[in-house]
Amino acid sequence: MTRTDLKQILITIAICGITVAFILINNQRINKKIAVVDAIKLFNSFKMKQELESQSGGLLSALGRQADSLKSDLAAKSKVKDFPKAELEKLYVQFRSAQEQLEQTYQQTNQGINEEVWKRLNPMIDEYGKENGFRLIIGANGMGSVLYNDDYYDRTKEVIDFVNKKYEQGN
Amino acid sequence: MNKAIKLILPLCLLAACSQKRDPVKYAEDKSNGLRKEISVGNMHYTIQYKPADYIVASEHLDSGNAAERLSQLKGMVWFNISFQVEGFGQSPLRYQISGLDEYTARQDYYLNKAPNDMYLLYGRDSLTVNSYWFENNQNLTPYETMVVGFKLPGAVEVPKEDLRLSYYDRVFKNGIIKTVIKKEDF
Repeated sequence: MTRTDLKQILITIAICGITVAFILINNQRINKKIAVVDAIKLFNSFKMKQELESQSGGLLSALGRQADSLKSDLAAKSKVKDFPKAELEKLYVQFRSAQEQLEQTYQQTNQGINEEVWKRLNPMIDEYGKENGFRLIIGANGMGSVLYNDDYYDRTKEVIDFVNKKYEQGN
Repeated sequence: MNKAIKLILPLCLLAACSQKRDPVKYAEDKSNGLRKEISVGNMHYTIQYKPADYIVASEHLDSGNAAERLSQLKGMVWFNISFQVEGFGQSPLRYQISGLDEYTARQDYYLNKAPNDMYLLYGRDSLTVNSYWFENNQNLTPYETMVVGFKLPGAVEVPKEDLRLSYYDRVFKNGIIKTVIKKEDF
């Protein structure tokens, strides 16, 4: 065996060693399989949520306009001298009722959207986790469940793309 | 032997190719892309796109009437939207109802209001429901079906673009159900 042959063998062994080390490190990285998803960003970026909001927007703005118009009417008539007090009270009751209806509808709509959106998101997140071999997906919601994470574990964008594609395709 | 194979093989291939496919079986086979199934919670939706030949074949018409029916169906696209609750052997309208009033409200929704919650995206056009029929099965089956028709824009007789159907199920609060029938699958 010549000196050149020995050198070549040593170089080959070194390259193999580096490759094995690289594979091991990469495997270790893959095996961690933990993801952090910004739950608020995911919720707000889900297309169904945006569509439901825009659908309910029409009703809410109609109720808002109704309450505003009663408020303006009440303000104008209360400035009229000798305007019957009973009429003013009647207008005030109408205005309060319109305002209450607006608040109630707003709350109900928001609650309904929240429930419907999470009903759809949860199984999709499960599916994303299973398809991509994650052992754990943590939802960061700014309430202290995740105090810090860097980009390494962050899969928010991927999950948003996944759920929106699933939603648009329907299956 | 070789000669016999050379003679029989092309004949078999010719016979297989000349066999007319059954439009109903073809459209109802999920793998052909004309039937979509979507589950939200325990509610299961089946959306069946019904091409004209599917409708004609399912109506068992003779050739004269079939031609007339085919021309009637031009310019429209039809879907069946069926829904059922998994593991619940009754009509979904009866699922978790508090009483007769709720049942009547659900029935009223599907008979009169549901079409307002549907649209079809065809190319750049957003089409509203043109024809609608709720097949109330009166609890004889564990599913209910909405038959929905959309008029294609302009002078389009048969669809050439993807059909993107959207339906917002307000009764079961499952959000918006969407599906796409790809033009390659027509």
